[in-house]
Amino acid sequence: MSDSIQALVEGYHQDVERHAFFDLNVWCDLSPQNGFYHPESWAQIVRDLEQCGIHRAVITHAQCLAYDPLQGNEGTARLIDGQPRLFGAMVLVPDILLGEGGAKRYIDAKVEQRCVIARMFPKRLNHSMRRWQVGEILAYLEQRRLPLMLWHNEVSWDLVESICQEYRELPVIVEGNDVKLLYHNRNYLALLAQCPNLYLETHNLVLYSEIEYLAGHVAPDRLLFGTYFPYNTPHASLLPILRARLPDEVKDQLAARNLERLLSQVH
Amino acid sequence: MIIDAHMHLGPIHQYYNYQLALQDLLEVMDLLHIQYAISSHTAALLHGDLSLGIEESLRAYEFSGGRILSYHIFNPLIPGQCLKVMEQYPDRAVFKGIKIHPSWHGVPADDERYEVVWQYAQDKQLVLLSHSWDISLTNPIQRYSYPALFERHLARYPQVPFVFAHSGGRPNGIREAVRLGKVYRNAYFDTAGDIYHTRFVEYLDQTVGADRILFGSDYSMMDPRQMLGVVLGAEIGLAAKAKILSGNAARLFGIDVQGEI
Repeated sequence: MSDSIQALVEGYHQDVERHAFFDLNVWCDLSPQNGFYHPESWAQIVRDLEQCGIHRAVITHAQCLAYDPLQGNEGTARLIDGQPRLFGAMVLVPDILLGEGGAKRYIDAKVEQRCVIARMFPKRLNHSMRRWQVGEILAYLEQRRLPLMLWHNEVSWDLVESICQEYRELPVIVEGNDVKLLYHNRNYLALLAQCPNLYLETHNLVLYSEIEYLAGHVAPDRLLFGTYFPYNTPHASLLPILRARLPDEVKDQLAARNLERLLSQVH
Repeated sequence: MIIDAHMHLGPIHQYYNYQLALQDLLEVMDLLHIQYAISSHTAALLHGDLSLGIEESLRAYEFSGGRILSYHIFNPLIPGQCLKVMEQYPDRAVFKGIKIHPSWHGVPADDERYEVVWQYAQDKQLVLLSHSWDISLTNPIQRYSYPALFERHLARYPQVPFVFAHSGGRPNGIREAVRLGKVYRNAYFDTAGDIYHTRFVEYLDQTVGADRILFGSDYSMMDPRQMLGVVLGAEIGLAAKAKILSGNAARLFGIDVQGEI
């Protein structure tokens, strides 16, 4: 029996390497956690991610949510500096509008530091996502085609719809955080059909056959691989793509190419 | 071969079910080398329609050539009806155990109304599987399935193989289930659900040991590929993975596993 399991395990690891996954959703968090994984350093997180077969990632610093968003962004910049396979996610708050040069100057500086997407957390960081407060930020992200990533439990689906419609050139990525997306698929199935700028990150697309359905019938070019590591194990996100009943080309799209294409459009 | 010890046939009303056809399920089971799966049908578990649950369970067994097995459902709000159905359908080739769900049925796990089903499981030497979860701020009803509430019955029925479905669900619940597992050797732990915490399987392996962990997927709420990936990728030995994926369930449910993957 162990021989059979060994074959499954080896086949799994080989397939992970073959598809060269690019993880959109990795966090640097060394604060005390209630889970079962307690990394002692950022180097260990990267090492353990590599051990899972993931060698490229977009990093968000947890300090942005628990301490100070802008200092957290500086932390992200330090983590990815000189690391060609790591990229940054900048967490944006209306505070950046108060500084000299406004949103444009702040975002440009972050892009220079190789931040490739923006995230916003209107509930946790206490601000509106409406035009009167963050319109200037969203307009500039749209101008540069910088993707905006949102947790679905931080925004309503009505708000996602209005952002997608109002900023039609802004790629909007929704991800699940640690609340299952499955209860919301009646919403996002409709929105994926109506909003070509809406993308879904995959780690919480957990319903049976969901990835096959979305990639096969709805939006194969708008699913982006992510793991939510180190909170979640990457293995939960990898096998659903590797063993999906989809052609290898589509698996490659989901694993990395969709994200590569999206990031290549940032200017 | 792999045994999925916790899955559900039948639709769930809260979202769009992408695919529920039995033929499709069998295709994915083959793809993933899952030889057997044990279901609690949603018609009986969630909707209280015991007849439809039995009918669909039997149909799945036939359609799958005996690969899709089932749990009986015990709902403490209709105990007599549930026990009657269990008596009417005693075939152990099909019905491998009993499922309870304190949160969904709204009756705390330590309620005396469960006494009859623990006694029944002991008398009939059946496995008892129960939903278990952590106390949740966003889903208060989960407190009815907090692992500590099972202690009363675990202590009283040491002969009943009891499975903490979801192993307690979230870290505090999992730790509480493990605490009980160290005391009560008849407690088992399954992996079903969105328990994707890094090193969750490793934690169970290190605390209660691989002999008492069962692979479960929570199909169709969850895709079995997720938890299968978690177990295949876990930093535990191959022998432990073999026990979790197959050996323990084969022993516990009396399933004759033969053949290779």
